[in-house]
Amino acid sequence: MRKFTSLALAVSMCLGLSGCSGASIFSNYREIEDLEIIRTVGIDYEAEGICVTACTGLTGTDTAPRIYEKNASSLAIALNELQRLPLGKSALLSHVENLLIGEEQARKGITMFLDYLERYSETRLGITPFIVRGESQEVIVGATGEATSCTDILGTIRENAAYVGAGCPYSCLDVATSLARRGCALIMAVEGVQREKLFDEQGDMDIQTAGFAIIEEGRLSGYLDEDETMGVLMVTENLRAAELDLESRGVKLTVMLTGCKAGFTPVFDGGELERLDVELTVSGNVVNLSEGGRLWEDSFIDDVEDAMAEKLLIPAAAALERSQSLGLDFMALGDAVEMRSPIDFSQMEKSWEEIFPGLEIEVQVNGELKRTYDINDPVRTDGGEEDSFWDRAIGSLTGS
Amino acid sequence: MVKHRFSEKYRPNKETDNLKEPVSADGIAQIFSQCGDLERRRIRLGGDSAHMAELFFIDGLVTAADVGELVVRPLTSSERLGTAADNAQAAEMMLQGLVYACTARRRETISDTVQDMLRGFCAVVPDGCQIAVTFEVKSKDNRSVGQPNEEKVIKGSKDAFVETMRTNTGLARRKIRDPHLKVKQFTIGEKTGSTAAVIYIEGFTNTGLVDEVCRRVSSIKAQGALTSSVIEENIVDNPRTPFPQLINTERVDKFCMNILEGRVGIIVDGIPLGYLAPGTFTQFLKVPEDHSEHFLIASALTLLRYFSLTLTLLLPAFYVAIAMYHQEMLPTRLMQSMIEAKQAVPFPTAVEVVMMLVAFELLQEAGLRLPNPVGQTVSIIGALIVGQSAVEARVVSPVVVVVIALAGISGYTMPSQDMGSALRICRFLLVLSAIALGMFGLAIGCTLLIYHLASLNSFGVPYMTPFAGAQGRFFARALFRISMRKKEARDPTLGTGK
Repeated sequence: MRKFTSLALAVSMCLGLSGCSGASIFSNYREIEDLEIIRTVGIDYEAEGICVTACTGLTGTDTAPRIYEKNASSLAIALNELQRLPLGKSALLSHVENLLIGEEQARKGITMFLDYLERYSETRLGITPFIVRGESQEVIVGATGEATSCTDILGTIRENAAYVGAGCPYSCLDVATSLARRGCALIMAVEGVQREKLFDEQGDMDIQTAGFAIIEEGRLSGYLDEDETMGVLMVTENLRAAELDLESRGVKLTVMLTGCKAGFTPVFDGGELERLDVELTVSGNVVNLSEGGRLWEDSFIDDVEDAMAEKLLIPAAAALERSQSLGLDFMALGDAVEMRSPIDFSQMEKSWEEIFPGLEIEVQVNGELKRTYDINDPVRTDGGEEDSFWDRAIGSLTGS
Repeated sequence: MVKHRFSEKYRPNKETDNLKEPVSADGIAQIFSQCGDLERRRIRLGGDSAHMAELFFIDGLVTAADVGELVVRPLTSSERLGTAADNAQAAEMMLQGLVYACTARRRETISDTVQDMLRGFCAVVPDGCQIAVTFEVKSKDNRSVGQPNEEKVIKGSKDAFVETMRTNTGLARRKIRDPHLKVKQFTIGEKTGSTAAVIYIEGFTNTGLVDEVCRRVSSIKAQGALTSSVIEENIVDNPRTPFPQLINTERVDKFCMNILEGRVGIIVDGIPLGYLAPGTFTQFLKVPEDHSEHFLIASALTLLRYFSLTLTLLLPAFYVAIAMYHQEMLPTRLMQSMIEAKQAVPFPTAVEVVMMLVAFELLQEAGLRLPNPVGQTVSIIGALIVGQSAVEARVVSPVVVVVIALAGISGYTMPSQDMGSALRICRFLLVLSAIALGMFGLAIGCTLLIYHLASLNSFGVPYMTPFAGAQGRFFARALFRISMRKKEARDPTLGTGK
């Protein structure tokens, strides 16, 4: 009994350490059916503060997505007011997936939002931020209909962006980390485009990717174009898939890029960083080929790989050049140098921002065809002019 | 007045006062006065009227034909008895083989004689001698050895214990043909006079454990030993915990396997179960089939049982904590469907879950108590009413039905019904703690539960062995069945001999 009493006392003391002191111990009790799951939050600039637009998602039932709007002086106040929704519901923000920030607000600054999301108990830094070219509310309201929701469209963009070479869904944590370490970050940019409705319940607007937005010192400073976005994906090894049209020896073919490996070699001369060699190896498979091509010829495959490299050098170089011209190391090249030569880098770490814009970067792109899907040699083995296995097998059967 | 009512009604049993007296026919008759099943017959030993004796037996406990053939016939027709100098010599001749019954005992007190008669002996009291000679002519009207009813046998021997202790010890001996298998007998139950046998392998089973079990069994103070709880609650270390500390089984193979692992067995006359000590937590999650299956399959099934244990214990409480306090832990899609399902349900989650748990227990209890065909009907009606109809009527949400059903079904995978019952109680308590404090309450509940389990001992062995105590290195043995090629029979946590 004495043991039990001592244990009960110990447990009751733990209650004091739980952060649930006073009467607030039951404060997070809410019945599940009284909650409105907010999945997208949009923030736009207002003269007297901000305008917050919150949107639910499709539920798989007849219930249409709902949109709520609050004007307040800060995100904290706006989200707090969202706790008193109509019909006695309160907003549950722990399932927010997308944070849309209007262009104007992004130019004013975004760090206070990241700060709030980090501090607030319900929200998580895994939320994906987007910079909207225009107003976020316009996109949220326009893309949401009775049977469509901006949440689900953004979900698709998040999942597929890296597979079409259109961007990479960095999370708030990635952005906050990058801002803290390098003073700059990239956030996926989206824009709303008008579309013709296929059915009445559809929203009249679609959302599409618009490259990367560059955040400098917590504010939007510009955008990367399509090529530069592709280059960033290659250098940061975030390229999952993309289609690339090529022409070699008069044959048109399409290559599905399947990934990119980046190698960084800092070249030092007397302790000074002289050059940074960037070697990108992009792999891909042939998915389409016009007539006349003979992929089992080694020389032709080499030509295709050269064509791939030549074409992909352009976005890689463009991204590196843009990064240097802005003096923003948003591709974390400093980290790559530090990883390879930590002692040397430690001596230049503080002056990296000054070194980086003038650093000589030599970029080399290698193309690598993994699969030709050619019936004679679908997976590249030895290729060449020799008879294939099937030729030899048929020959042995026919005696030829 | 009420206070003294019992003492006023108490009548000292005068017959018991002469139990220690020397044997006399009238003394025995007095003990069994008002007992219609006592048979008393006066016989001439060797047909000689000079050698008279009284024959006593209790009808129903003996085989009448055996009394006639094995006792009365030789006693009355043997001429040698007639040549005896006196009845004392005649009694000696009976003991030396003149009577055909296998077991014959010389008894000098009424108490011993009466005890023998109650165990299926007949007593012969020669006139003028203050002794009785008792002969075993026990009735054979016992249930024959059959298949176990409660423990399903898939791949193993199909003999189960019966109510007769001697049959049960015989069944154990047939499996372990070793002279070192010892059977120590004790009488327990002041009124029932039941016999309990402590079974172990000498030189192998830990002697400290054997002594402790013997001490506890011999010191059982109870009026009767007719039910399991009389044995269990009188000899376990912690009678107040709902968790079982004695393994009980009706399967002879399981009983013997545990004896071979170094446990001590207890068999009680009249109870068709074998008890095994010590009973530790992990033992209640093992089934004899583990030793019949391939070791990989047995290991996977053991892990599945541990998973089921977690589900049955924690799932309802976890659901309550998440649905009431920690909605952020749910995947979005699941939460959406849960919200949709609960929209029209009028009760809060806590009421819903407690209501379903109670309904589940009611159904289970009804199914158990009713005869099989009716029990099945109740289960079907219950499943339809509580499951389908309750959901359709929006009394409970389908998710709660799924959660409670899953927890209930997981509980059925527990090999020990006692362990399953203890888990059901804990499940309720954990649900209540989750209702009160969410995940924090659940954590407190789990902490107290683990604390409680870790503080238990069973016959000197920590209950949570090998997860707690100094036997941690054997924990893999609890979770996995090691290949028979490598496995030593004995349980390393029991401190057995070589």
